Amino acid sequence: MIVDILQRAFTLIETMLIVYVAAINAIYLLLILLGYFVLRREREFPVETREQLLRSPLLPSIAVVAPAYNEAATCRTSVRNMLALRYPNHEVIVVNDGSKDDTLKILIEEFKLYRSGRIAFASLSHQPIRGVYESRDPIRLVVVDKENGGKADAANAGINVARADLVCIADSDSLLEHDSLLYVAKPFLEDRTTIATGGIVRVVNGCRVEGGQVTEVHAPRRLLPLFQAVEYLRAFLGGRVAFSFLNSLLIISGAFGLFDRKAVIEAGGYRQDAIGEDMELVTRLHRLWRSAHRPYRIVFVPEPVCWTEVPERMRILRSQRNRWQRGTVDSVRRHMQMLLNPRFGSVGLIAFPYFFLFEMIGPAIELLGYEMTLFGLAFGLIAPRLAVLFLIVSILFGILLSMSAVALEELTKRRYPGPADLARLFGAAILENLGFRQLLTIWRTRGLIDGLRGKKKGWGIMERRGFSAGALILAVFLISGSAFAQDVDRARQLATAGQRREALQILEQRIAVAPNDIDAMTLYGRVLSWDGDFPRARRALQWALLHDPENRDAREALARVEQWSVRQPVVRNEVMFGGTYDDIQDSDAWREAEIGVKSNLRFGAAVLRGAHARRFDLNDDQLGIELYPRVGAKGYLYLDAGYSPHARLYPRSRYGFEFFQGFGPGLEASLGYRRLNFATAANIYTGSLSKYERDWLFTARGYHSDQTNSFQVMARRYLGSADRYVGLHVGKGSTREEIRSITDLAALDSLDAAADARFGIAAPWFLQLRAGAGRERLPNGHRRHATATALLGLHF
Amino acid sequence: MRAAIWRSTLLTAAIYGAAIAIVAQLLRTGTNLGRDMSLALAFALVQMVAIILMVAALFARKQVNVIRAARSRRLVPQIQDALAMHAIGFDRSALLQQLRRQSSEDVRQTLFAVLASTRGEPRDRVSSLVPALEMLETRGQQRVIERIRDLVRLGPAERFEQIVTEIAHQNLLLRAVAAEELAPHAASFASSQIRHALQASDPQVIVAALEMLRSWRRALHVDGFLPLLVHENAGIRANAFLALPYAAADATQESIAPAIIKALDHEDTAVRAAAATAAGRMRIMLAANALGARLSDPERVVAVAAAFALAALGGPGDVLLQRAVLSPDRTAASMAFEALEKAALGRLEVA
Repeated sequence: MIVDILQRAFTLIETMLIVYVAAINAIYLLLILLGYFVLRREREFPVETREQLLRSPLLPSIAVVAPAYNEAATCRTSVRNMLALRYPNHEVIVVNDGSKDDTLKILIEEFKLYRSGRIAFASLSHQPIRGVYESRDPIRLVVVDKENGGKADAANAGINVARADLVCIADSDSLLEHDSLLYVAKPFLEDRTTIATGGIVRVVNGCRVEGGQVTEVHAPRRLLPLFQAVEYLRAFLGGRVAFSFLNSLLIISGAFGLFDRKAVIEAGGYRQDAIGEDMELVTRLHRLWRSAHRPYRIVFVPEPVCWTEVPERMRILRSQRNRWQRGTVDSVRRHMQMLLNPRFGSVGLIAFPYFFLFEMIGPAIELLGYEMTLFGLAFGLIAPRLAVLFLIVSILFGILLSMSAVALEELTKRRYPGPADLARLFGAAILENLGFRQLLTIWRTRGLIDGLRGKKKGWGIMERRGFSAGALILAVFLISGSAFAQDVDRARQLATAGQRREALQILEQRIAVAPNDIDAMTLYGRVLSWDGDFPRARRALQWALLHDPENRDAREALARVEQWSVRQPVVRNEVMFGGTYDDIQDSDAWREAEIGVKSNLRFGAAVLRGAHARRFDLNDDQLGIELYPRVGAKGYLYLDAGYSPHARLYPRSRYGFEFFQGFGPGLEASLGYRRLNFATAANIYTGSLSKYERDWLFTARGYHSDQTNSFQVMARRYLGSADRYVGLHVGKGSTREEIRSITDLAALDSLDAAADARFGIAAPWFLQLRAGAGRERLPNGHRRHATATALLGLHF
Repeated sequence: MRAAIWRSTLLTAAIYGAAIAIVAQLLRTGTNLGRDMSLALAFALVQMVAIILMVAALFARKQVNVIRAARSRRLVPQIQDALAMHAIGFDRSALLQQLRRQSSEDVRQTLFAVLASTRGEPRDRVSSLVPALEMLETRGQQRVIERIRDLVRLGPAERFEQIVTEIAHQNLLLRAVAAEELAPHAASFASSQIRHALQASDPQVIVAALEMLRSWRRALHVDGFLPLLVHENAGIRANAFLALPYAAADATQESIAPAIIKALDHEDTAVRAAAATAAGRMRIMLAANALGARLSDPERVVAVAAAFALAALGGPGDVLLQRAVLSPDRTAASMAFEALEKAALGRLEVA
């Protein structure tokens, strides 16, 4: 009965997921087609027309408002770049949002600023202004110095001080094309009802930049920015062109957007408490203008106007995507009444539902789809062939969309001149669907959860490589960077080896010369917390978080400090449940569902595990217990016992023990024995050697049984804590971490590779995944097998 | 245009969907695959074909561009020869028609390049080809620009009124381009031609003509301009003040001041601001007190324009500003202070 209900529920969810996937794909396809046909009719300015417009005094004046926070390193170049923009009547307003570095001092000296009597024209709310500066030189530069309040707050201050007809909100660290203002102003010239326009933002990584201008356009060479270049093309040339055509554009990139000053002031400016302030403002403009039945246009300009550097490191990208997703959630929640409300026309009926269904909750649904597929496979609810085919269809569709975006670029704008660049983009359009997209889905799901939980904002941390860094800067960076990395690594090694005093000394020296080194400060706080010096640890970690609010390592370490400092017993229990599916060529698959409870007791960890397996129409259960008692300062035991009442697939009983001993700097060795009581008992002897190297663990393990020997190596990268890691296992023989069943024994003489990962999805939940494939040697040839395990866990 | 975009989009999507449905049906009837499997396989197949077609189309397009460039290289000398022969009196219109059928764009570009570099009778013969070859296009924004350009090439002075009338109801982009297109010929326009446009019954035509005067930035004497400063239409009036320094450069202070003083009290913000700006640019000392009163204008755009105009006047303007700096009205005081500061630095243009 229960099985029947579960099966029906599964079928229902599966059908809904298929409908959802079909809908999202159809809409993406429609958007990209619409984008293509719109772009085909778009005509660029001929040079002659452009030059004439650039001379005309009839064009509306523009104030470029650039909020800046701690931009001392780049502010000279970026301000010069903005002043050099070609437009008949524009001024630059840099808003120094309480920078802690020398941004203001540099601007004052570089541009000969004096404290001006200029006052604000409007009264949008923002933190107090400390002073307004203008240049004595014949340049139209205004610098507003104000107390820190965030990007939206700074933009409001800039808009207040601006007097021009239009205000352009630009990131001070983005590169703008010389004629970008003219391009984005074009819709204002064509239609007086235009209230906002946004331009295409492109990826500058890989391009040649000279004097603050992109002189040679190339696709990025590194994979992560290359994927993002394709992603940007897809988002801008597909989605935004189409939504602009429908006058339902909900996002104008915060990196470059042009607004009617009076319209923005009338709408109340940027909301300082909004996470995605750019999307929130545009949505609000739609809402206000549609509510008042006033004609208006919000337009996307498909010209390349702004170049931005995208993250080249996973950590930064993850943080950025988390912020973007939270921004979407925040904007959607604030304007929820627009959803499916015919009063708001195409915005309420098309764009807003699209954002809600596909952009906001889409990642969570996609992740659910993956989970359901694994679940369905594990319990035989989906035919493996069909699941694989659906996976192929899904990936092919992703490739089709990404390649369409690249083709759209080539057919219309053609900014990437070289065939090699085009080939790289096409390659990335294929590869990004094989892992990168799924990774983004996980990060965005996390962002969705954070957004729903109301996690607050901060200035985004973007690690920039710099546009014009010459060889000298690069050399200095490399030398100082590597020296710094060595210091921190050495300290980490010493700390993990128990030499905390020495580690703290190194870190203190490092922090003395580089107080802004977040990694060093975080590690310092962490080591102090291990020593029980909680007040100093707390101060160090709070300092690190002050400078990098998105730093998860520091946040987790601080959470631990708070936990340990109240002297609560460190009891962290977890429960895990999920399934394994082993697809075996020309044979029935092994399906296993398991549940385990782990408890950290006074003497060490204990795990109680129950498993149910199915193969050859046989069902079997096994109950087991594992204990990890500590032995001495650096040693512990592994004790294992299991029992199967039916012994159809599992051994009737199972015993095992292994002794682990740590020695030297991060080395650990073990020796152990297992006995599996099948009809004929199997005796297995095992041993391992492990090495901890910074956040890495490398292990080599061997098994010797009566019939065969096997060997495997494993590399695991811990991501900030023992609970989060990714790993790779390769071996001759089983790559299962623990031999538990007849399947594992059968696989002993095989070649295998597997990857595993464990990560938190939303506290207290975490996910443990494992996937692998291999080839077994049989007396009459070889047989392939593939395995996938997904376990969902909960800390309590 | 929107309908055409929708039509193309939906048609392509329908073809894509139909292709999947047909392939799925073929797979179902041709094999023993179930409904789900055949549909999924059809999706996969059609997607792969679409990807291949897209890449092929891309490279085909690149090839077409290469062919077009080669054709232009071949045709342009023939077009130039034909035009040269036509210019000196041999009728080559039939040949040019034939060449136009092969590449209209090449003929158009070459024809106007020749027009720009010839004078006298040869030029007249070539310009007679323009209507015959249907070179004056009228579709789309760029076509309108091209048409204006062509009209200017055909004779800016004679066609001034036609151009102003044609662009009066166009958007600002087209008006700005037309103004710039006519700018090099501004000196050749007779005052009567401009006056005629300024006296049109359509206010839009008057505004377009005023915008042109402002764009040209040339000191001209335009008869009948001053009545526009008291025109009942606020848009015309504001634009007239903005064009005043160029259109009535030789007008006396006494003839302009009453209109400016009156406009400084106008209900329309744009008129007040434009009047203040004009007063500053033309240094109308008689308007100083009226400008001083505007320092407390509720619209800051007017107050700033008045403050900067006073600073531009110097003398009595400075005195009024210094008084305003000490006044209890902090907004007026700040505006006055800023204007004095900018005047001292010689930066009054940044208002």
